[in-house]
Amino acid sequence: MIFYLQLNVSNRLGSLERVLGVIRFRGFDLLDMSVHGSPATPSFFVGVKVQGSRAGENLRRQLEKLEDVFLVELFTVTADPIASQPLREAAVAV
Amino acid sequence: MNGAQFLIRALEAEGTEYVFGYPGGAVMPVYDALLEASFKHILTRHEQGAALAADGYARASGKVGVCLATSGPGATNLITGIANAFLDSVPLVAVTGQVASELMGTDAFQEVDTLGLTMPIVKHGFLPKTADDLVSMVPEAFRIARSGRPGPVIIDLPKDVAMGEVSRPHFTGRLLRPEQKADEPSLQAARNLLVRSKKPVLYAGGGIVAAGAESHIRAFAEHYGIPTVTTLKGIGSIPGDHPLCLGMLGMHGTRAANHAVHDADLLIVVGARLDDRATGKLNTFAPNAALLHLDIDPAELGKLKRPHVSLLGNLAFSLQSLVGPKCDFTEWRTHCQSHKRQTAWCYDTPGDRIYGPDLLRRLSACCPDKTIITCDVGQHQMWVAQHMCFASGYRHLSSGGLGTMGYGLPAAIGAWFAKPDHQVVVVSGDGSIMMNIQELATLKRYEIPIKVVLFDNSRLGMVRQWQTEFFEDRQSEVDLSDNPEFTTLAEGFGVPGRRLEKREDMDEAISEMLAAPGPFFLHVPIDSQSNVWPLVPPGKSNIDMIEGAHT
Repeated sequence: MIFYLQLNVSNRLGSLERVLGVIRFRGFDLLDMSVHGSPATPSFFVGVKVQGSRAGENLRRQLEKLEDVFLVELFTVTADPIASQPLREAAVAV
Repeated sequence: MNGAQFLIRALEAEGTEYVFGYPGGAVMPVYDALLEASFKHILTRHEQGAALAADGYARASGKVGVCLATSGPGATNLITGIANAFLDSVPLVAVTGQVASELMGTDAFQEVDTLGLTMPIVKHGFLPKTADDLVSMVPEAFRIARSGRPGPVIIDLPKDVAMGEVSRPHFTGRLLRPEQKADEPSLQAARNLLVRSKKPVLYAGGGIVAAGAESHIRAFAEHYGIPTVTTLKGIGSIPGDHPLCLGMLGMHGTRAANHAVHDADLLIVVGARLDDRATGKLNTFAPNAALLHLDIDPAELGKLKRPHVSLLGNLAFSLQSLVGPKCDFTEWRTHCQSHKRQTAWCYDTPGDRIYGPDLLRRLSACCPDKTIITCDVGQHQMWVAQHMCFASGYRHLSSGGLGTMGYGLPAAIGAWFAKPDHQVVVVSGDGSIMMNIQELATLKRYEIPIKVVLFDNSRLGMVRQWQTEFFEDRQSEVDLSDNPEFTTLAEGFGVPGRRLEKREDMDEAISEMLAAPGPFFLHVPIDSQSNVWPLVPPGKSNIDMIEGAHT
């Protein structure tokens, strides 16, 4: 199953690394990723497309537990056209 | 005031009583500031001992444990203890020294990426860039460690930050985050499940102890008269001798507990994560039961088994809110209690050698009310869970999630500092004790009157048992018959002890140990072929327990 998640992540030391670590450890492969933000902004907008056999909702809840993560939305599974787009386009579309 | 001095003041502001640690190069500014601290530093003989002692302190006290180590090997030696706290949801703040900021990333002496190494095993990690960062980071670290589902937090402190000036030091005091409480529609749905049930079972996990909800679960169980099983970490949340308690479930659980869960039509899981050691084969676990899951951690709800109703939030509130009109579960309860009596443990074994479970049963009966038992990992750990009786969760300290051999002795040290009016007893095995034997020096240093009961089967007993049962008895690297002479070793550390070999001497040896004014080491050789029964074979359902001969 392919899932698409949007996250609002604090721009703090190691925050993206934590997000990627949770995705890997919880059994999902990263297919695509986009990050919007700059060193001057307090948070990043992050979009990830992941693949895994476990429930996407479980991954969403694990990501939401991270102190750096303000918001996680699990958008869709494979069939959704947004998930099949490159993430930069998807980020604009959403 | 420099960063290190601020750290000490901030730890004081958080109510820190003890810090368990070991000094070294990069953390020297903190150790210098420590000389003015109002709390006490406990010097262990290995950083792993410090982390596990802080864990034991936290579990026994209900407060945040604090450990301290230097950079590089100091930090890596803490890691097992941090992981132990993470998997058992123990509130811990670990402070590590780090090389100076300008040296970070240059492979400097005693430099490792502590923040990166610990990321998967902490709730959060901090790496301050300036001394001023500590003003918010220290209280945040404590808040994160103790809030929601508790766990460890690390502060990796570069040496230059520790020595830098804090421009505006102030102490925010304890930060708290309001806890979520279950909503009324979910509570009503849960009550409906309960009313419709004929055969409910309460499944009590370690979260109850962490949440301070022991009295609430007992009140709930007694109000409805619901048979109750516990996880390893839930032991004591309902007293072991309570008429509703069926014992521990799972791989080495009681027949009564595993069968009750299998036959239940409603499983009320409270503060537990449906760990594989508890559930056995998941798709045949509680096959006829609706699942009502109560937890503070949203990620646990539906992680392994989808609940019919979930109550997210404070466990005490949820349990209190579920109490309503009484239901009649008499027939089911009588059936469960009858099965418990029929399958009670048997302690009659042939020969005159010590039978581990029998010794533990007697020890449990002889210990004063205020006793804390810590154990290591292996056969003796399961015997403690099966055969000792606990009236409260904080009195049974066991490494449940990580299964850390070497946990028992340092955890006992931490527990004793938390509860110095309690008798603290370590139950260990000859494999485990050697993992942190150096902490006997800590017992002697602080004259801590901890008693150590060492079961010595000259084997890695649990591995040996599994090799026998599941690997055609091909025994691989489990022979420890070249163990040191343990009582001599203990005496070398200044801890007196004795050897106990005959069953007839058991009561007298236990009495001698408990009466000893200081630490005591009781070395108990047992049969190398002793096993833990019953046992659910890997991949099997909990009701497929096997049982062999007791030696």
